[in-house]
Amino acid sequence: MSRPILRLATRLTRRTRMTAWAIAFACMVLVGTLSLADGFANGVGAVADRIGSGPSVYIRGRELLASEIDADAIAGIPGDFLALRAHVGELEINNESLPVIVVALVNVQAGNATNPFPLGARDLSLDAGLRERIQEMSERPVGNSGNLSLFGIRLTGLPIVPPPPSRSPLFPDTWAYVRADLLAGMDLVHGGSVQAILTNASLDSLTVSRFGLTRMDAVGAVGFVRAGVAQIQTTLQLLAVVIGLVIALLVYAAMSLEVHARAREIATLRSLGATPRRVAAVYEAQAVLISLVGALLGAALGIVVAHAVVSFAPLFGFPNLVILAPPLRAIGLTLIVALVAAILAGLVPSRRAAVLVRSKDVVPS
Amino acid sequence: MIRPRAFAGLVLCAFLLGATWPVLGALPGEPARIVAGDAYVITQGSGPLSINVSLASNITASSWAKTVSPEILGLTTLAGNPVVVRAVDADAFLRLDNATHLSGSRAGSEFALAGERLALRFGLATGDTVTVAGAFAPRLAFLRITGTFRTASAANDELLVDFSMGRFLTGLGPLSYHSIRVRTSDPAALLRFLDGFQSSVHVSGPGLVRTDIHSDPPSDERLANAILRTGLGGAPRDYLATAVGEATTSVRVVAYGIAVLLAILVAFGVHAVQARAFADRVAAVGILRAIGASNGWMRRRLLLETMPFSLLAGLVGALIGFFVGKFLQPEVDLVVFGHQVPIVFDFVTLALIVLLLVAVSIGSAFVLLRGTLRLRPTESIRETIAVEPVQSLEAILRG
Repeated sequence: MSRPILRLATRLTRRTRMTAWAIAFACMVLVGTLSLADGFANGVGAVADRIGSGPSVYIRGRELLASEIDADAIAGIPGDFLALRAHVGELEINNESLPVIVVALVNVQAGNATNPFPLGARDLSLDAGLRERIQEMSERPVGNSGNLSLFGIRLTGLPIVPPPPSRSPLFPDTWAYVRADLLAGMDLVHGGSVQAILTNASLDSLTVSRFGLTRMDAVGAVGFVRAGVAQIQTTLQLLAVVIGLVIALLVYAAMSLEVHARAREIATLRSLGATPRRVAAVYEAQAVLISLVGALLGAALGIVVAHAVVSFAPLFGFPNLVILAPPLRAIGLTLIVALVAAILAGLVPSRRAAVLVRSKDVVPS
Repeated sequence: MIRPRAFAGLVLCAFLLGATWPVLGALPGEPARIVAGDAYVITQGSGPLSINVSLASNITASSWAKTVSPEILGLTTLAGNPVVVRAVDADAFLRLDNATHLSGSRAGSEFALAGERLALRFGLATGDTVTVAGAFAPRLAFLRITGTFRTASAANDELLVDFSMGRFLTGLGPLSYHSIRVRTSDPAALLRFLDGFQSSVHVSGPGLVRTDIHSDPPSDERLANAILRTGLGGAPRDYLATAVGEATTSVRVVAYGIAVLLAILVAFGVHAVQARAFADRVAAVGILRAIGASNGWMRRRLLLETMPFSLLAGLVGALIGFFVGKFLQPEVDLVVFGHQVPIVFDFVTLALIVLLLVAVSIGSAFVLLRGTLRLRPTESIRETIAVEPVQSLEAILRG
């Protein structure tokens, strides 16, 4: 059954060959564009790593404040790092109330955790900028004690201690610092968990995947470009819809013309005993075949064009920021788009072929 | 000679262009829209550092300046997505951008105001706190959203913060800004003032081609090349003007390139549609020629039929494409580098789409007609139908 269908479907005419070339051009555009975009993303990533983007910050999820890393498990992370706990609280001091970021920093060195500051279990250290703000608001020096509301719990009479003796340039001077134990004591689940891991060296991929971590770029511009290129990659995938519609139009027109031109032949086939289903299958198979041949040719051309663009870009003064990789995803997407478009576009002409009158005298309308 | 069955095909072709070209056409203007908007923007030139508090206050004091907004631009990420954080004097900025205050407090010494579209995209509300990284130096900060605003400018996708936060995130000095935007009805007075003030700046704005005052034009060398060669410190002083120019050129090359490729694809589609429609009329061409129609008459007749037909299809398709794009915009959420790409109705783009469709349709129709005119009328009337011998077909069918 399938062999005769394939024999009839593979009779390519000049028209179907031209259609296959047009589909190849469409697929070349898609594969070329997507592989260049992927290559650009690779290049931007490589440049970002090369110019250095400061300490590595690892979180779970996409928002640091919502990130929760198991505090008991982090001792197993190799190397030295800083475990940062951060929560939004409400501070009452000098008869004023203001929202503050409450932070606890724990140093982990070779698996040993230390929480050097502040010293007292209930101490609340206000950094210099936060102190200035409180003084501005209340127009008097910062008091010796304050109340802190966090996780729905209000702690009263917390001793206010001086700013931390040293502060990483990574952090602003507007945070309030407490001990990690205090946060864990207030809420074991949220206060006990770590929000971010800060390290000078990158964590190995095994650790990153084991803890389900995401790297957050501490230099925003680097993250901005990376994420911006990712947005472009997503946007360019919409091109697949346009290409799919064009392929569908090309296949529909070509198969419609084929059916039109082979009307007498179809009638002969029916007279020889071919069922309508078999006749339809011939033209549906031809639609798929043309499309697949075009898509494969286009994918190959797309790869060649992408490499040509990368090779010639420096001649026009463009920086060579594209690192091409085998565009397997782009090829997969192109093949799927071409196949789906061909199947759908081939339905109407093949059905028309199937219902043509069984007569030697049939002529096209 | 072109039958109405081609209409839907041509409409689909115009639809594809109508849905994509307005977006591609808007892309090259995005970098300038982000930095300048519709006001005059003053950025650092290649000479001494000039974009500072002194220049801003002197411009503000000038009678020709209606609104002056000094700004610091920071590029960062919010929940892994690119976002522009703009440090501003909230009152001046909101006035200059004709922004409407929507919720929360208007300003204060410490504030973070979210543009309406940004707030919608990230589900932000007044009182929420978000994490941002430093822009050009490693930093970590939490911003408490103190309010939201709405504006027609690019800032609707941005976060506005106070200058102290802006300086912390960008590492910019205490008296410096990245740009000063000015709304004035007398740009010549602005240029005269900057010249007299000995500022080394680049100025651009509505109806004003970039003017370099006490400054060389932005370097020809691409910023990325300079950074790759010498690191971040190798960027020129007027990196903002250079970056905007480069970004505009790069985006233009990519956007227009894609637009041209789409036009070629659509041309293939138009030709396919025309070929299918024309196949039904080959016999009619043969009959007309047999009864004495000349080749010139045939061409004129085809032109008369094709032109209004493709004009209507182009117009209908382009408009449907535009409105479908506009309607689907919130769902598709076409965001590039943190800013939603505006889909603006543009007569030039519409005219280009219609013109292209008409031209390709006519060209395609003439090519098809030329092929038919090469045949003798009797051959056209009979049509050459692909028929394999019955024996051959039987042999194939029987395997």
